[in-house]
Amino acid sequence: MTIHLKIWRQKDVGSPGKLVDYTVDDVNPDMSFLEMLDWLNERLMNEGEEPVEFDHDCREGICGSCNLVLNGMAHGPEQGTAVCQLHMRKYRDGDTIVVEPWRAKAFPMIKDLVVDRSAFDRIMAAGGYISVNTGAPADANAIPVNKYDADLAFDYAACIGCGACVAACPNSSASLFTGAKISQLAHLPQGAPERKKRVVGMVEKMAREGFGDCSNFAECEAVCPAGISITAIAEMRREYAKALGEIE
Amino acid sequence: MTVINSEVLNSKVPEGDLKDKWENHKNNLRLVNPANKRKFTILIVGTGLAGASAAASLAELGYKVKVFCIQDSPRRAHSIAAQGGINAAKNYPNDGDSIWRLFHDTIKGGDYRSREANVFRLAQVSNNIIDQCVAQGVPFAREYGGLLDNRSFGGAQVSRTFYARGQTGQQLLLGAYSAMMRQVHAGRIEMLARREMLDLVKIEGKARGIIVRNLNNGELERYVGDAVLLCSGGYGNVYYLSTNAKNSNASAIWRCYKRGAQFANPSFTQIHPTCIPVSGKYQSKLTLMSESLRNDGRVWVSGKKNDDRHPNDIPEKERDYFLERRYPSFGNLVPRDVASRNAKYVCDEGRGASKTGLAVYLDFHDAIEADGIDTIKARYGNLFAMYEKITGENPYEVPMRIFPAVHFTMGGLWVDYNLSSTIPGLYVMGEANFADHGANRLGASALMQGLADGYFIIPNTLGDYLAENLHTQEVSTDHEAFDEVEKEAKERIHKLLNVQGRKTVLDFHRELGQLMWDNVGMSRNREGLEKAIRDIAQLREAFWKEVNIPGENNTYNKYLEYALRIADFMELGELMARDALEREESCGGHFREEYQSEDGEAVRDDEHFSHVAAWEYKGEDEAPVKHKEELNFEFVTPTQRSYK
Amino acid sequence: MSKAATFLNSQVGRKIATGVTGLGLVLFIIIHLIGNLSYYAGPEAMNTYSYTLHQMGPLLWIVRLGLLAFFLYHVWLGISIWMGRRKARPEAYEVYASRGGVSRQSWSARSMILTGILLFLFVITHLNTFAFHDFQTVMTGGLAMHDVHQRMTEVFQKPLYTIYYVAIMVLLGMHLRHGVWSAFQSLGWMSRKSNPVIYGIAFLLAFIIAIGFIGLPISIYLGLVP
Ligand SMILES: Cc1cc2nc3c(=O)[nH]c(=O)nc-3n(C[C@H](O)[C@H](O)[C@H](O)COP(=O)(O)OP(=O)(O)OC[C@H]3O[C@@H](n4cnc5c(N)ncnc54)[C@H](O)[C@@H]3O)c2cc1C
Ligand code: HEM
Ligand code: HEM
Ligand code: SF4
Ligand code: F3S
Ligand code: FES
Repeated sequence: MTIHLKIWRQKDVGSPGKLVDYTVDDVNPDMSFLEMLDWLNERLMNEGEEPVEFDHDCREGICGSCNLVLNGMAHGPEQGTAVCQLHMRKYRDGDTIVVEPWRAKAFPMIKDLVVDRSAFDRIMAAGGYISVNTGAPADANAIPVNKYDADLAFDYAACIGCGACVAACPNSSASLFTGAKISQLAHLPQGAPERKKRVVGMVEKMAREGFGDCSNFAECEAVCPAGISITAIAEMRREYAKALGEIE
Repeated sequence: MTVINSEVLNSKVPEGDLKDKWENHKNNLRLVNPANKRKFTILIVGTGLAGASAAASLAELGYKVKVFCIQDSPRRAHSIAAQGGINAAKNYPNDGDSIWRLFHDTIKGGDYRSREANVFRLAQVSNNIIDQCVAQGVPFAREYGGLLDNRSFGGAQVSRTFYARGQTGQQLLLGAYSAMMRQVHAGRIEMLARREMLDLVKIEGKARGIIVRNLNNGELERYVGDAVLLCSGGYGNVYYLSTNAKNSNASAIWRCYKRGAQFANPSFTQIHPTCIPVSGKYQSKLTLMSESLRNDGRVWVSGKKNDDRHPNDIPEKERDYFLERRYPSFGNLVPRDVASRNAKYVCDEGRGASKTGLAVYLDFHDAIEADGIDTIKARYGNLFAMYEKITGENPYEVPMRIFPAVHFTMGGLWVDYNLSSTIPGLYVMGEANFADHGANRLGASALMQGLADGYFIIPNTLGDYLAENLHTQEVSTDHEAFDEVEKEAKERIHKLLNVQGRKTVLDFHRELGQLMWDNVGMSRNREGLEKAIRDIAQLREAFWKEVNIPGENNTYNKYLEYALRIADFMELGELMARDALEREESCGGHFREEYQSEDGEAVRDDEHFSHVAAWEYKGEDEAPVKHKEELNFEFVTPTQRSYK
Repeated sequence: MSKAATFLNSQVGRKIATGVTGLGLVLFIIIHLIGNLSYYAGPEAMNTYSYTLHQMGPLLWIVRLGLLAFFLYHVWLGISIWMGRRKARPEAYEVYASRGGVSRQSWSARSMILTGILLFLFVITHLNTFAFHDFQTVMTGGLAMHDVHQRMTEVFQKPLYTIYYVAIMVLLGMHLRHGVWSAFQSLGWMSRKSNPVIYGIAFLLAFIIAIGFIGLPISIYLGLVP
């Protein structure tokens, strides 16, 4: 099938970017979206043009590298799917797809569709952990965790750190990402001692990195490939209110 | 060919009873006092399970640590993709498991091509790993009583695999990553993402630094340290198509090989039987489907050649359930290498499924009939959904199509008991070393090994080396050794960019992959291996004449990154073929057609090949030299595997 | 910074404050609606309600000041959150679309700032029309009361006023359609299970409030109230 693409091209942060038209003729419906871009890139290279830069690694929807906004939707149209797992059979012959990078001040542009998401790492460094040194902690079964909490913690822990929540959020808020980590650790007994410090640290870092406020649009949940629920954001707020109510 | 029965390869395995070796060894290692730890800088390449856990643990001890990774975040290392689980000898289910049993299974699974002492230590620390991860908040699966759940994995007779849904690697890595980020926050770790190590800098014979390319702007950067830890993962991507992430590569270890680190058992590759088959030339990677599917699915192909009927139209009596037929007692649950090889054979006969003829059916029809669709849905719902997402076919109604794919490389840089390579100060961990898996890795053991290396082994053994080096001279990045190595790296990049040929990097990678898959794949023979050595050399030559690399060096340039890695794969591929050629036996993942029994089973040759083959680089136009580390089995007796 | 300041300056704190002030205003509106409904019970009821209210003296002023503070703070938060958007995404998407599904990016949600500002302007005109109006005095039950009933009747006999009020009340309904649910989420009162339920209840509440208010001008205009 034939697919028309309008792809954001930008040399670096300093240079202006624009949408450039490409047409890919021999698209196979079994191709993944990224394979179609590979295909396009091979053609561009053979024609002596510069290929389109985009980020990717596992191509299995787990590493969180891929980050494309397709026709205005982060990761494209399919629910619960990172764009590397989107296949061309979802499109029809002759479709036009606008391809843009994640856009947010906190995710500066690197080139074309590649951006820098290290702000997420810095939010994690601000408290997204349990402070145990490597050594000889108690036996793993010393603290039972009821299955309900363990499962809930897992639901939140499933975040792949892709940043689609920020990309899709009209406010560019990182609340879903941050809330997911806070909620995961809040549901485990191991996370309890640092609960307050963690939420205060992470919430403050999130703002300082330049992410916007959350207006409860829940667009983040709609695009999240890991299906993280905005309940994570509600929990984060609860944790925060409790923490500031009690911290000295 | 020169073979040296080597003194160079001193495995440094401590004396004593198997059970006491590690404890004794730890007691004898020299220590660095806390005040001095701060004076040492450790460079860690890679942030997978091995790298992240090592970085966190060493920083906690007080060392200054610098960590490098290719991805934009350390959390994206390939370990994130591991699905199944991690083994430990906790014996929580009380089904008779023990450290000894895990040790024995691992060494037997590796077809007696690994070091006893290392494997035993791995089994010993396996339990600490689980404790450590739980303390970090890793949400392992639990039972209703609140205790940890285990499952049986990869044909093991006991349930010793801990798991976190189908995302165990992700959860373990996030645990290690968060421990690492805690140290970043504390200022003890400097995290340098989107940096690719291009070469190793040796000063006075010791590893003292690395040259790194900043992938955002192409600049070469120099880092000096007191030790370099390679945790750069496996090299399965030499086959072009594999289950590895696209960025997985061999460059870090290959460059170190060329600087004098020996490369052990390069040809030992694991091919996983249940992956989603290739659908066309555009295919960029292969996706693993969990091995657990073989518990209920039945593997078959048509009895006829080139049968293009829809699988549901092929009547029962015309189907060949070849694994059940050939291995009546294990049936569909034979080990990975056996299942893979047999799938290849039926496809070679022209009986493969799919348009490409490169697939076999994995059929759940009988299981659904026997247990009901709900049970099957509960067991495999996620996997079936993933399969449908990728192929567009519904496995509840149409048999799945699967095919083997390259999955793991047991080979890697040679290391001693302390994880030190043959270059002093260069340590290798995780999949990058030749590891504890011998000729074949058991399911759920790679995660265990990566974390054992990083959390529990290197923090002990590194101090011993550093203590000895407390008074070595300080060097800075202005040292001429840095100038030299950086110059070489720069020249390589320019040389590549200046080729300006007509073929893309991917063309070459595909071609190399095909050569490797056909000749150094599941089933190998002398003729094919010799051909591979010749053809790869030609391909390499063509690469340096005809490759076309777009763009410039000073911006983000993915294809340039690839090209640099593929240049190294071109050399590594040849070494793999050479190693396979010289190992004249069949063991684990290495199957030589010349060495099989009458009914087609692998025949190991313990008399001549009970050793680790470690290759030493001798120069651009010279053949490498093979060193042997003899493997002595004091505590277990090697036996032949049989799954009939 | 004091704890309170830290809280109110944080993204989470600001949001909780938006929710608290928003819900405060909703509470006022509900009381106001109930008060207004006494119009249907005739002039005496309506005027007595207003009279009783004004008899509260200092308490009334405290409530009024509190309301004003809430109102202004809410407006300020709403505007500043909205302004923050552009800062957080200086370069807009060429194409932007909602994925739908669980997304709450309804029309109402997107236009909060617009409906909010219009409400703000409305309140100014509204105070001018009613609260600051120089009411006639009527004797009811031996007491001199403001004839609020008469003023309302007078106002809503004018078609422009009636249309204006009806339109604004639709906007109010929209503001609350997202607002009420959102406030619950902002205050962290949402769980995965309750989320769709509360989203539904919030819609109902917004609908009832809007319809309740709309009913009055329309029925007066059409002369449905004796
Ligand atoms: C699909 C799949 C499923 C698997 N499932 C299981 C399982 O269930 N159980 C199990 O035990 N094992 C499993 N494995 C195997 C296991 O995941 C890997 O062996 C293991 O994760 C390797 O970890 P590592 O730390 O050695 O390296 P990796 O996780 O591969 O990390 C490599 C790191 O090195 C960096 N790097 C590489 N080269 C350079 C360079 N030149 N410069 C700078 N940085 C560099 C990368 O950026 C990355 O950070 C699976 C593997 C695959 C492919
Ligand atoms: C009659 C008065 C008003 C009522 C009852 C009201 C009610 C509410 C409620 C309940 C919320 C949800 C709060 C939350 O999500 O936490 C809200 C949000 C909001 N209000 Fe109002 N509001 C009123 C007036 C205004 C005015 C005058 C403005 C003016 C600018 C305004 C702007 C906003 C905005 C922008 C939001 C969304 C804030 C966000 O979540 O980002 N509101 N309102
Ligand atoms: C159909 C709709 C409405 C009608 C008929 C109405 C009517 C009135 C009347 C008659 C008064 C004067 C009360 C008195 O002085 O005793 C009043 C006051 C007021 N109204 Fe409304 N109102 C309506 C909607 C609203 C809305 C939507 C808001 C807010 C967003 C609002 C805010 C106020 C305020 C703040 C006062 C002043 C209260 C005081 O004196 O302290 N009204 N309204
Ligand atoms: S919360 Fe979802 S969308 Fe956001 S980073 Fe995590 S996985 Fe991606
Ligand atoms: S889309 Fe944005 S506004 Fe909040 S609920 Fe999600 S972060
Ligand atoms: S490439 Fe890893 S999630 Fe898409």
